[in-house]
Amino acid sequence: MIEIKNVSKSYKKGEKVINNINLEIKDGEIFGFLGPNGAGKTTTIKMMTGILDIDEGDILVDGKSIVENPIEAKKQIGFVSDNPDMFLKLKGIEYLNFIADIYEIKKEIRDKRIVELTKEFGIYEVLNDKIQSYSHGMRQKIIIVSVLLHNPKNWILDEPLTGLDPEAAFHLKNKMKQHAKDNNAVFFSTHILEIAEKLCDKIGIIHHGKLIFVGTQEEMRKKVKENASLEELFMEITKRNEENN
Amino acid sequence: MKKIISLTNVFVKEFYQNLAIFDKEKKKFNKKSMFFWLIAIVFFGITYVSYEVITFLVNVGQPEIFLNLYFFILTMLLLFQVILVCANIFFFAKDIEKVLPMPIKPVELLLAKLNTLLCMLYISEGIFGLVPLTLYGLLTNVSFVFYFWEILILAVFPILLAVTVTTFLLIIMRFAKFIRNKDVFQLLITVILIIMVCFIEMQAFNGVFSIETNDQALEQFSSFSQKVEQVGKYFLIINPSIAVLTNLSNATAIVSFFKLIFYNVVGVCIFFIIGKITYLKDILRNIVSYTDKKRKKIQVEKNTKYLSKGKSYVKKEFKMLIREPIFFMQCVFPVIIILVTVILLILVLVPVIEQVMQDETIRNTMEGLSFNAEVVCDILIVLQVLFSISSISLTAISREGKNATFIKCIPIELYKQFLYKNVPQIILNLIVSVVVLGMIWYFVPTIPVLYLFLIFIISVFINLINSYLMLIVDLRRPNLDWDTEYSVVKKSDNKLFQYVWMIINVLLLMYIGKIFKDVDILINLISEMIIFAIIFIIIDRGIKKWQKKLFNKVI
Repeated sequence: MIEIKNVSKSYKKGEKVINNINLEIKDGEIFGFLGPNGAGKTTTIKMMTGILDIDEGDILVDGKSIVENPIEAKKQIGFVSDNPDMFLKLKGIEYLNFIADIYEIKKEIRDKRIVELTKEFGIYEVLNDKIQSYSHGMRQKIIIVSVLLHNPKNWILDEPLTGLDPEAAFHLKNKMKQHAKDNNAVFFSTHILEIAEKLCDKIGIIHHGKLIFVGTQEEMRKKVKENASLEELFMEITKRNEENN
Repeated sequence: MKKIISLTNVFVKEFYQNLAIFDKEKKKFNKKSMFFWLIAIVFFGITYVSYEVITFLVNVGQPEIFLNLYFFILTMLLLFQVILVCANIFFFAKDIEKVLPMPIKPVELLLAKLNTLLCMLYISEGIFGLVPLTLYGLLTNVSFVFYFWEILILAVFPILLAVTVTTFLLIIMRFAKFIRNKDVFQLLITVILIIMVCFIEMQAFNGVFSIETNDQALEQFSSFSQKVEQVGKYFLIINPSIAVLTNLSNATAIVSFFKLIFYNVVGVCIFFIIGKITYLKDILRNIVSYTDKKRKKIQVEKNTKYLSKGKSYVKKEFKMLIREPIFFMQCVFPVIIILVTVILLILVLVPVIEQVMQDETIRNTMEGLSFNAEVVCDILIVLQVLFSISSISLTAISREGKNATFIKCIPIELYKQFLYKNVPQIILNLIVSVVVLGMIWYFVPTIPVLYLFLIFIISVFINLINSYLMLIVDLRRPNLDWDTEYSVVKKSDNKLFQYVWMIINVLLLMYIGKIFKDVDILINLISEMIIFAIIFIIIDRGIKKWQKKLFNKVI
């Protein structure tokens, strides 16, 4: 479970880019985090993963504070960033072995999981190649595999489906569903509203650093417009917020 | 022609990125740019050293020796620069793939690339070469014609060096049928070219030092001048350049200059003929063969091994440093070159030293010298200067680029990651210490091993302090948003902090040497050890305490 409690962040004094956000991603839930460009999605994710310091408030991962107890909190997180160009000079297998060392995964378990996951995502054959020779999609896949390797309870995924081929996207979506079904939390940001519509149990919309909606799609329809698609609801809700500002 | 100029412009800008030394809006130097100060310090240092050398040579009545030394050093400097960058510029730069689909003729691309290389050499000449030569003119009261020739010589001088090395490169690329690993190949080419230059250098110096002399100082200088002239024979352009600047207004100057032009024209013609035949084909082959390599089958169980977090992290650091040829060549290679050059020079000089030591007066003087605090200080200063050459710790965070946020995501304490990231720099510096102290032990066996061991321990603390401070600099001023690996080191104005720290530590060592001058050597060594250990512990505790703040620019 991930709890975001009264979190605020400003890069310049007096200009809050994240303004008093409160969120709860419960176990067994897939949470879609939506918002226009520059709304504060990446900043929120960076605070959740410990990349950025939090000015006010706290974020708890399975009850462990990312501020007070960052190491324990990070052990509970599997994070896929939006930039898959990582460790390009390492071979795929070297990268996965390194991640397994960092998360202290026993040899027998890591070997089994590496084979399973890389075959599932179709990158087993290229494990002996350097990551720099991989395509964008393959790089994305190896990052996803590295995150799944230590089987964290909470997944945080920043635009995880960008660049994936249909088969890999299908596998990832299934993995996300299965992970939530196994009573774990999945938090992901996306620009593709159709994916959020089909995949998410709950949706959060952030605009100008404020959380303007949190709830199920049904709740959103009741609040905004009956029988509307998520795309229409999103446009309507951000438009209203713009007008109120 | 317009295309070539535009292409050159793009390539040079891509290579150097935005250094912001000159403020185009205000039309004056940007004093806020660290690069401005870095160049200013180098400029000042070179001016000072040149002034001292020229004044000394003028006093002993042999100012021409300066020109011999100057052109030899300039040749070496430019040659090493060409070798380190030419493979990247002509074959491995990322801009090539972007330019290839455009309607540009291979010859235009070849010319633009040569221009890019020459621009870099002219920048180096401007920084390192212009002042000493002008200073020579001023201090020797030569006529105005000297400055006219100076500009012409400096304009012509790098061309032959650039085209010769590049022609060799084009030939090597032609014969390299399979470029399976682009990185290893790039490194290999650099090593081959450097070995070739070192070989020529050794040959030249062997010629210089094999001639015996027991004359007085002035005569020795005179004969030294003649010997350095012999070195010039190995590099065609040195002697004509010297001849032009020493025979300013007579026919010899003009003849020598035309000689120089002739060599350059021949060099450029050969370069064009070979380039025209091979260049485009080899670039395309390089790109294709790179993506066309066969895959090796993997056996996961054999390729995985359980390591502790720390060991695995350090292993990853080494791999990332060694496998990226640009990082390796910029951060590790200069230290290796300097160490190898020093060792080679010493090996060449040993017979000369032995010959000198046969002289009873000199031997008595040498034996009379005592091993005191000042000698310790001198050894540590040499080590400190050598520690300042490498930028491994200084770029440890910047090298990660946009991936640096990974540091913050993984469940390893930031302080521990700080230590792991320092390991490659510390190990390289340890090797430097061992080599330098080993050479001292070998050549001056009269120094007790215990003293050398204690100096080694002090050097370990200096090494740790250096590495820690440089990583702190990179953490506080990281360059994470880069497109080409070159810009990590080239654009890093953090180097200024490395030089500043070097100067501070050298002054500190000189001061310690002075206050311990008359103290027992053992007490001196132990005291120095304690001083540097305390400094290290303070820095280490500070890092542990403020680790979170220290990493807050990694976002």
